[in-house]
Amino acid sequence: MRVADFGSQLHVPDSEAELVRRAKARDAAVWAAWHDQYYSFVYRYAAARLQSPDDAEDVASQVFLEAIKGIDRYQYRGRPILAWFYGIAHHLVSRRFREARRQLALSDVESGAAIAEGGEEALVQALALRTALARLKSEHQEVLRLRFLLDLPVAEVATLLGKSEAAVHSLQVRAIAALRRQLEP
Amino acid sequence: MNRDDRLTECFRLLEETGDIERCLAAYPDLRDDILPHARIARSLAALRPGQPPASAVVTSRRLLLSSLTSEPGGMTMPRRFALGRVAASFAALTLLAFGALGASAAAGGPSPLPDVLDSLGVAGGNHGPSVRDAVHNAIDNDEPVGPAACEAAHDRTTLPTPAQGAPGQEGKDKECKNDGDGEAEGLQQENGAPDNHGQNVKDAVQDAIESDEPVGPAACEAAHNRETLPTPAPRTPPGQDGEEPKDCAKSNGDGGED
Repeated sequence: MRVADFGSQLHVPDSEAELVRRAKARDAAVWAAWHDQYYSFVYRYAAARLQSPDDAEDVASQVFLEAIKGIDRYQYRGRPILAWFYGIAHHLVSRRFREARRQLALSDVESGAAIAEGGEEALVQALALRTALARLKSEHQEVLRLRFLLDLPVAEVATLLGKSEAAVHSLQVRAIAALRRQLEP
Repeated sequence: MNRDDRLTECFRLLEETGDIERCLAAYPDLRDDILPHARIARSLAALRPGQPPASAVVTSRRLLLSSLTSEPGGMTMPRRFALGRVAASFAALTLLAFGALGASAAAGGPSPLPDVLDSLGVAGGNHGPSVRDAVHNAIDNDEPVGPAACEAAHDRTTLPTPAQGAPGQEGKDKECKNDGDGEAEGLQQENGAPDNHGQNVKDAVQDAIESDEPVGPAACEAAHNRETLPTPAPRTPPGQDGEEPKDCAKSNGDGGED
């Protein structure tokens, strides 16, 4: 699902600045709408990094609770509100990852249908890919996750990362090249 | 245009058209780069996580909405008004004290200063000196200082009169123990929450050493983990309300698990 799709599902027709103002006033309708629109993205982002559905659920839920706590300090500057949720999710996942020092367990892997259908060989490939991905620089990991694991177009990745589209294209090429080097025997 | 720039341009074309053949036709000399790149991009797509379970969405939504009503920031007075109230109270008390002093001096009576300050709870009693004396006595008698200081510090009879019956403290006399850590233990027992904070930090450091990871970020993370604090310790202490715990990754430039 594209970020743009989240935006198009917004039932409240007001601008995001107005929504932020109402969110600061603890308007339940706005918070519920944001949850409905962005929970899936936040969950999938957390799942892509943590590789545990349970942990992803915890983090996704916590993102919104942290957002309520932090909304008074949030200043809307024209960036989509999703970028703010993404920032919170990124921070929470990083924290949880370090706390747990989770080892990748086969039983925890929840990936797309391709792995399940591909059998053992696909699973081994997926593990190798995950391991290689985890060895990349953080910004390389992030651009690959957002582009290919969450299937976001370059324009939306650029918004989330606060970069230009050209910079994301360039970063993506370098990230894939780095991943290739990691995968080479 | 160097090789990387041309590859970037090729991928931009691929993004726009979704057609790798156009990319290959435009940059035939990059074929050996483009195809592996495309293959890796496809294999990454196989790692896409699934959608969240519906039950998780419902639970999270319910939690969010219930926290909206219970979240302290939603109902509290704005900080500037709270500060204003404190300042106004202080000004009123100061005026009251100096008014009483002035009236007494004009009438030629005895100085009411001790009574006024005592009634305000800012003086009177001999609490500070009592604690100091208790510590000195313990040192002189070669007795443990901790329990003696604790005993004196919790002795309400030496407090100014208004402070002796503080709301919510009636009947809650402190029992000082002789084992030197009575305070922490007392708090744990009173609230039923174990204090595993120190142990957690120690474990995190130990884990980092054993797994050959950097010790600094692990120790920082554990030290700033409010979840392991005992319940009476304020997890959002004054001035920290709404503040996120320290991000240890930011402080050392580490990229998390990366």
